[in-house]
Amino acid sequence: MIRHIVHKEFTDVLRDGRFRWCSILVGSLLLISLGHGWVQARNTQQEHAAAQATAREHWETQGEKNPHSAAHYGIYAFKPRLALSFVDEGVDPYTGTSVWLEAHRQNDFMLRPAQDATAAQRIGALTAAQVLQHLVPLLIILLTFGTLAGERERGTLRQLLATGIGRRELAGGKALGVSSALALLLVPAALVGAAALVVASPGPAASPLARGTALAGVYLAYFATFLALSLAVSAWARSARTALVVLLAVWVVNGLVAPRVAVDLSKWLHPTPSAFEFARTVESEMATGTGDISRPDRAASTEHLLAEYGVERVEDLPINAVGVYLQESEEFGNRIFDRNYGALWDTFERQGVVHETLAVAAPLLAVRTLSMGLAGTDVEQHRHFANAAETYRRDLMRQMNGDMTENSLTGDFTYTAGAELWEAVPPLQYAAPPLGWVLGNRVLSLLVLGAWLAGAILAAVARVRRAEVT
Amino acid sequence: MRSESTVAWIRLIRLEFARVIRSGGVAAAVLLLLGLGVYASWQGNRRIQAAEAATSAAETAYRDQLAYLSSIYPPTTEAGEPLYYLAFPAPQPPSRLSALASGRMAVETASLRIRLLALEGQLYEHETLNPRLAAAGHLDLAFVLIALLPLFVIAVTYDIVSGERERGTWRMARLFARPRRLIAAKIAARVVLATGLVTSPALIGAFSTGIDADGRAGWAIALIALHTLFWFALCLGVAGGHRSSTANAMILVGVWVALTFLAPAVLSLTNALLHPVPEALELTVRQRQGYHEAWDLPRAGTMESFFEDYPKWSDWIVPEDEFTWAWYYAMNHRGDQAARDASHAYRDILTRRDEWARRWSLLVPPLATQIALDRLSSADLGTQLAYQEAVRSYHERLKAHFQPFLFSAAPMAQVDWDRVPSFEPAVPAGDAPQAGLPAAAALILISVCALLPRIRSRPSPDS
Repeated sequence: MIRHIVHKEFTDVLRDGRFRWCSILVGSLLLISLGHGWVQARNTQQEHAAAQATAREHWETQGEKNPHSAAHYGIYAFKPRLALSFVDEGVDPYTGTSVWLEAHRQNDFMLRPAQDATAAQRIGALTAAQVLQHLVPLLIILLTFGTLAGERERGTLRQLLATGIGRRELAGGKALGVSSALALLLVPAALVGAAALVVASPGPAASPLARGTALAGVYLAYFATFLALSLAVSAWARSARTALVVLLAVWVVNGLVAPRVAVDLSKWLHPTPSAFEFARTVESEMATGTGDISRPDRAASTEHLLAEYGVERVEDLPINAVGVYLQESEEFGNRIFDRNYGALWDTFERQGVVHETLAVAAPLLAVRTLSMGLAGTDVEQHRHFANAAETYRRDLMRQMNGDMTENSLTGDFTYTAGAELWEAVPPLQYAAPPLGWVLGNRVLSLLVLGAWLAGAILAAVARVRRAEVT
Repeated sequence: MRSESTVAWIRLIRLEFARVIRSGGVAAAVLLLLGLGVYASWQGNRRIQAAEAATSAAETAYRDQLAYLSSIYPPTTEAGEPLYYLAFPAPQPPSRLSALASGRMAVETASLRIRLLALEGQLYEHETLNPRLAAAGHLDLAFVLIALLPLFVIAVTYDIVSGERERGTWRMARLFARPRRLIAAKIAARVVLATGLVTSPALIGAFSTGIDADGRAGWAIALIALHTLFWFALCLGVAGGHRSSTANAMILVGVWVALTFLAPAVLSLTNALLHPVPEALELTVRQRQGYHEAWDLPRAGTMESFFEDYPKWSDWIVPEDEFTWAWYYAMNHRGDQAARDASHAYRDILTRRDEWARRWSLLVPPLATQIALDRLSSADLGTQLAYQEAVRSYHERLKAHFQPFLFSAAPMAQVDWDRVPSFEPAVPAGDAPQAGLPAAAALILISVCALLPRIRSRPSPDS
């Protein structure tokens, strides 16, 4: 019997023009956005690889100069686009993709695509994640709202139950019917995505298939939640119309209102300084130091050097004291940067936690967090790269200052180093964090999404059991 | 006779109004929308206040920094040295109207601080906003009125005829008035409700923020009204037919999704494909390269290219073997020169993007309204470009002011600090009718098209 119900629901979807066109539309949008995302990810990755190579070439062929000039010359670092970013571009349009590593300061990331955007891009971008997070749930609602409420309205629910089928079987059959219709559009998209990853990965990634599988699991849980919710409402509502209106309200609050309210709430609970205030704080702390971080004392370190080498005058030192001073000021600056940027990133993460917590009111928030995380495009993984780039900058500065200290004398401004030193600096090697690291950051979202799924299924079961026949 | 029919007419509308507001979800939806609207106006007001506070803070910061630099450098220090550090404020005061449509305000900083060094690298600074929050979008009154209000319109209108028909009350209702008139009264009652939803938060926002009642505000109100009427026209066009309530609801929600999400996404994708911007990366790299190369090049060459842009200094000779600040700032200028072509190309492509988006958005009512509102409230891409242009000219005026002191290697005590030029904010791009008229015309035209099926076919007399 349940086979018949599944079959009937499935053919209903295929035969009804409205459902058919909606499904075809969503399916093709999904494929188009996957395709476009893949092309874009691959192009960006190639552009960045080329730009990174050019930057490296500029660095190696900068000619003979003082190592400190080279440190000022600096080098660009480009954030690699991870393979799965073609599914969800996450915060990438808002973070910038390149950072200039130079002496004395930690720079912000530059070049955010959002900077070049018109209002059209702000309302919605066509990415696979948007389709999966907004349109597929809407399709599920449209396919499901009438399953029980519609049968009841038409009076066929009584007939069906009279055949001796249990309510739970009936509802289960309907859910399976809708799911198989959905599978017709989701399975090909998933296969295309997986094939794109395996055959022609658009960029580097840590464990892309494991990440991809987890991503698919998250979206399946999300869809199942919506399916169960829709069934529950359809069983509860007096008419198909009421079911539709209620479900649309849920969809609007989940997808449109909750994320924006969460933004304001997280800003209100954990405010961040404006760009201007932030720059000003860093400037003034760099100028005067803070309570526990004092500016390097040049006289003291000179004294220390003189004692260490047992000489009377700075000119007699076998090393270049300026190199030592520069490194000391570099380390002082680093502590100021760590303090300020650290506090800023921590605030961002606290804002993220507010977001994740609010997912108890809207599962989309949990799904969005998990999706960005698994695609490698969330704030935490941006910070991971930013930290790697900053560590690289510090090593680079240490190497330049060290070379100057060892190979020249104090007061010698003519010393130059050449290609040998520039080539001795290893290129920036970045390894994206593994899946376990990502999931470890996202325990809260996983729990909330799990709770939504379990709650929705329980609600569906309870509602179906109590569904009235007329 | 006439007044009697007017009274009957008003009574009909009043009855219908009471009926709508009393039905289950509607009251809840009205409260939710009102709440969101008032909240959004309040947030908009706070954003304006924060932006204004930032404007005055930038001024204070400049004074403080100047005082600090004067205190740590002996007065005989060459002016070039403190000028290396000194950052001049270039704050763009927000348009009051942006409390209503905040546009790019959340992402862009409108308060750059400019140093006398190469400019290109300083122009693209941005707000320290959590990228995660930026990606989630923001809630301004424009979003509530353009994206959410249409859903409410759909929810109260989709079963305007079919609901009565399905409940079997349509025949009875027709006894009291002709169908056309009945439908008109029903629509009128709902328009009154929607008007209340639009005006109350907008008025609260306008009064608390102190929006001037000028042409721009007038156009903004007209556009929102026309946009809301467009949705009524569309709903009437669809719901006045013979379909079932469920079919009406599905069609209208489908159109809403298509117009509010899909069409903007498709347009912006097309726009990005037609006008790609690789130049952004190129210009920063070029600027760095142009500046840094100059350290190792003969100084005469650097000065030569500097004199091309500033011939009035071409008599000065800069020594090859000693550091001068005149040469140092000329090197910085060389960086900007190297990036000039790339920078022009970047601006060109952004301008074309902006124009393309404005033209094609006219086909999509919510997007046309959004873009026109952004423009009216000076929060669109065009305004951002105009702001950058204003910063460019400010940088030039600063250079003109300080060059005499740099070339004569004057000590900082001699610099005329009182007459340092101050920033002149960009004027809003395009006047109000220019920003509002195309969108208004498009909205009216599309509304009429949406009504066409109803105008041609008489409303069902019997069913």
